[in-house]
Amino acid sequence: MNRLIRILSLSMLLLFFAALFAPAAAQDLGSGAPIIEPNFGDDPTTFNPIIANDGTSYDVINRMFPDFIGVDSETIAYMGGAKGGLVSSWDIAEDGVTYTFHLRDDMVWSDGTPITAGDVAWFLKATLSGETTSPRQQLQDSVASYEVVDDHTLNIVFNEANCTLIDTLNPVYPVPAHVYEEVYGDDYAGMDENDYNLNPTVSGGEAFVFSNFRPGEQTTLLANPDYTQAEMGAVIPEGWVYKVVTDQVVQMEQFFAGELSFVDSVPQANRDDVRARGEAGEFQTFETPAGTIRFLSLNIADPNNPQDGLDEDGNAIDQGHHPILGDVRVRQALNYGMNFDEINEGAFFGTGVAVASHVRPTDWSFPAGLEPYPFDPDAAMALLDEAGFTDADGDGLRECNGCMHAEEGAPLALTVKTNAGNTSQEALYTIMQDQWNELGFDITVEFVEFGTLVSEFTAQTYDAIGVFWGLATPANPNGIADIFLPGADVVGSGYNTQSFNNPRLNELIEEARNLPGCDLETRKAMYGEAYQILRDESPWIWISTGNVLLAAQTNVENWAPRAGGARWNIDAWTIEEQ
Amino acid sequence: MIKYIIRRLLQSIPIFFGITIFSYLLISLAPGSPVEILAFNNRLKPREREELKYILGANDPLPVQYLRWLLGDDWMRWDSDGDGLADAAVFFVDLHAPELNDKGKPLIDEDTGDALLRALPAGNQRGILRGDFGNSIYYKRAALDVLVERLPATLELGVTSLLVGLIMGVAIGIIAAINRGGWFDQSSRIGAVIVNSVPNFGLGLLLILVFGVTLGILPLAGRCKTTIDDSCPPLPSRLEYLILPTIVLAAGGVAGYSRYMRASMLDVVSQDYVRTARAKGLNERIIWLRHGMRNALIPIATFLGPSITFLLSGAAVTESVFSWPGVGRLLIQAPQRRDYTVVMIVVVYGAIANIIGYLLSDVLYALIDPRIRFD
Amino acid sequence: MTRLKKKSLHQDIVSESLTRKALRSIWRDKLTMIALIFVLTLSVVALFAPFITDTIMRVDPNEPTTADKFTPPLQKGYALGADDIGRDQLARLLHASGVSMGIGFFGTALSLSIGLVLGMASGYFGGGVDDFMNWIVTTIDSIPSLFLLILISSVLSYSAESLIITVGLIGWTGTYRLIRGQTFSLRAKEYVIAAQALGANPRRIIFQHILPNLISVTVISLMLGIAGLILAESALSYLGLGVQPPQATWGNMLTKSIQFFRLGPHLIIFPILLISTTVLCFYIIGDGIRDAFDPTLQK
Repeated sequence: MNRLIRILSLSMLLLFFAALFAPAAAQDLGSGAPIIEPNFGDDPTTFNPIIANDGTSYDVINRMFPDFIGVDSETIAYMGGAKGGLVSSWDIAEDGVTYTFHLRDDMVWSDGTPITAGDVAWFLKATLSGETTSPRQQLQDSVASYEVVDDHTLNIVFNEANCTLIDTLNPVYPVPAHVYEEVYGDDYAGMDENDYNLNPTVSGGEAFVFSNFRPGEQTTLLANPDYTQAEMGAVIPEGWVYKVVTDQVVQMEQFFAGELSFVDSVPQANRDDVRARGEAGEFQTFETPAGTIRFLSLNIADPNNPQDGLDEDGNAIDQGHHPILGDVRVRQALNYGMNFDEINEGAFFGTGVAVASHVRPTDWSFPAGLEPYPFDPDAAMALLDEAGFTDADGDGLRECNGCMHAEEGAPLALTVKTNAGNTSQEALYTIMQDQWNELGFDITVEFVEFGTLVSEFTAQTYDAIGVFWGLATPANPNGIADIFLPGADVVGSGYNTQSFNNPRLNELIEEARNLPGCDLETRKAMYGEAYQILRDESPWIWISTGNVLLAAQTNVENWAPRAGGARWNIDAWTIEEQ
Repeated sequence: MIKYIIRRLLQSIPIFFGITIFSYLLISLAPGSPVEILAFNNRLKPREREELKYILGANDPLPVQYLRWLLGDDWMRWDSDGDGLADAAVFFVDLHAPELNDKGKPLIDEDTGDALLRALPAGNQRGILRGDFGNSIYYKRAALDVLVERLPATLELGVTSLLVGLIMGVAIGIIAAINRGGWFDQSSRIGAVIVNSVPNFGLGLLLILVFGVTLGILPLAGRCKTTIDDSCPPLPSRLEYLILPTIVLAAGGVAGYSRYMRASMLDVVSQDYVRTARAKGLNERIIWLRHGMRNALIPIATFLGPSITFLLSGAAVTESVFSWPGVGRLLIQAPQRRDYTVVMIVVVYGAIANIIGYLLSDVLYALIDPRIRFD
Repeated sequence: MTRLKKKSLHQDIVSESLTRKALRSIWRDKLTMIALIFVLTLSVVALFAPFITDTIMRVDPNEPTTADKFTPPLQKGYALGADDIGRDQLARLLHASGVSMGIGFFGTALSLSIGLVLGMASGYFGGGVDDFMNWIVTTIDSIPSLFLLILISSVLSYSAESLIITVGLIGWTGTYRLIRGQTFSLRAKEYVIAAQALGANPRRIIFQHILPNLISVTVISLMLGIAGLILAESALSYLGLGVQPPQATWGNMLTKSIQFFRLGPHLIIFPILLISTTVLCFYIIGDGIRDAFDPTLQK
């Protein structure tokens, strides 16, 4: 019954607006066919941005809720007035901790209620309560208080002044407070169990509004008639369908068959094919640096006795040394022994980009002189000899002959673990194993189920673990650099599982975060030095950040992805029925 | 008849408990508890993580945890004065948990040397026997809802494959038996075995590539045409989506039924009464159909048990290949996400489906075969 | 009927001649012989795979040569081509054969022995033992087997050994039922009753009188079991729960190459051919043995 009423009212609404816009010639609301995008994976779990935790849910939320602060798709930086953001500008008070945000006044929810500062305040109220099951610790730690000045002005007071405060607001979205208040009340802890999460009645401020969710199949949004930022005056596609596809081969075949409008990451196996067919005019394609980075984390401390980085008074704890990786020369030798060109060809189909750190060349903090280690097996062998790992018995494998931390005669053997079920990771580590064994290492590679891998990673009992991580856009240089601080070295939960501790690095990262005035160039220099330290000391081996290849059917007009977002103008995509 | 069904249902009670004990034991051996997944979050401090363990009862002995899962914990630890904290508990359940420091270690009272304690909240689970399977950690809602949403698709595909398998299997079996030793007999036997020798996912993808991609006559995957509507149209208007997954799922059934049907037809027609009928000069066709088929069909009913289980529990592989939104697919990712509530509900559901499947098949068997009496 | 009864009086002698007769009929059955020869050859090759690849072919199945990736068969010295990172497919298939067939053989053997022992014990002793065993068997049987596989794989790590243990632990119930039933009926046979009356101990009765009669049933189960497990191994690989690389298996080679079906069709064709042919051969052998031992089909 409920659904019937919803459908009825929705169609009435659509009819009404169709009638309104009908005389406006070609570019009518929803005049184009719906965009059908594959969701390779599983259902979204919630459409409530307060508790969303997984990428799929955010994929949908971002189509139907505006960001608090938008990201400019060209500069890839937070910007007042950026498309898709509620904030039109902000001022920082003298004290450096009080931020006044001025909000746009032309955004409305799908029930006609304006989107106001109170809607952002509701999000903050729920999240800062600390009771939701999805803690946003960074946000909770940084915000001291907030105040709704008027409908379109919001003050946020932070605990301390630093240069990454705007970044900590990344998870914030306006939510329809008048509905949420009624639906959720103040039971933030019980938010997860509310049926409303998957049946939102009110959304808005973005190109689409929620229509329906079919578990295991698809999520459907419809063109938002009230969207004021549309490139063409009105949202052209009739809707946006996020369709679950569970097999990657089938997904690409569906795209080739024209059943999908757009694929936002063509699998490596199909890259050459799609690129060639793109050049032949069969598809539109676009290539951009990926938001993911592959790395191998090296455990520097004793894996048999994992300890935290700091004791209760904040003093460093002596955590012992990893018998092999505890020596920086071995870590460097691993870097020199890695032939990236071969890896790139074999594992990434030539789409990888060698990196020396977790900053991408497109990030603002990327320093000019930061170079990946060259492939230099001689240098690698020299370092190993120097470190006391030599092949005295001539069996082709090195063993400890006067090395620093291992027992005399112990072989130079390491177990590298990585996540199972990913073809590129399999290829990558099979090739690296081969390359390192040439140097006299005895490398064992194990492919482990992801959950188990994570447990071992945080327990700090491993030699080396390789995974890949998504990087935030826009990048917050502190976001990942903080990982290498001793405070993040907490057995069982912290991410500094390699137990890295370098006083100069700690100093640089803190300084760059808290620099008075936040001068970008000065901070960039500090981060640059920090990245250089990380590269030289190598607690991680940074391997690659790939390019992603996006492809769309030729009948998707106005498809113009940018590095800062593939869907920034999705409201203008016009799909001609073929 | 009703008495028989009731007796069979009563008999399945110990089996049901066996299943719950067995699967709970297994899942408790799995690496990483749901607590770890809730706690895999570097934003959660060690103290909060340890507290979570006490609240979720992860530190209790296994039998207590099993009992909580089965019967709930609202009767184990309750709040009688309404202050939000439990003040009474049955003897084997802790009423208090130690107060913890920031590292998650218990705080000790320096004067007495005892651990400092704090009250725990009252239990709020009702247990699976009362329909409370708990919330899915990943899907953030009742595991039961997640399962129920997937049922229609699974049933749709399951019933179709069962019917197709049964009808084609029986038909092929009969023709093969009549045509014993002929080309149809030989080729159908070989065909059935060959189809059964190819891995399911390989067969599925092969069919997609041939019929969907190369020939372009059937849809590649999914349950219905992608539209912005809020549900698929009724089944008859989207049969083409069912064809390929049904072929893959029914292949095994066709092979099994046809072989069985053929053997049992040949068996029946060699019986004395058929020989008598033949001797009396009855028409060959009537002999095959009336005597042969009817009696040969009876044992097929015993095959229905496993088939019904199969159709109810879905087919994880086929559902994955064809992006079919069924139950089987739920189970594949759940263990990796440590979403054990979903794992458990799917397993328990599969077990119940199995019990029902066998019950149905036995009842059917007894109905068809006049020699069987319910007693 | 009367003929069978007479037989049972001299069961040991007669059953031996029955076995011989069966063997002779298998020998004459061309299809079964071809299948048998195929399987035996493959087994020998798989058994000596390390020797063949090291000494004869001189290639390392796990050594990548990225320059040669997706080399088609019969080029650059790759008989069956090279895979996505330039490993020799023939060498990998040889090694994989050992693993996949090994999982099939040892997994089935394990579940058969469990089923055989428990089934005989249950059928022979009856009573409380039987009731308890039946409860366990019905319980295990009540959980769909793929669910059980997924459940147990989430407990154990993904390796060939744990896969064998897994299938051993869940696959024995069919054999158990079969053997238990057969033992029950055999126990009631006169010669066993006679042996009991003469004071023979249970173990002697089981080994000397009951076990030999179960051989054909067991061998058939073994053949069908291996076929089923080879398929199950590939399905688990598809679901990401199978044996992990670098260890090659037919299942994980096939699963991985499906995404490359446009770049290297040879990477799909050979594994799928090998899986299907082997499974088919096991089916044929199982059928052949069944026919050979079936007294109604003997002329």
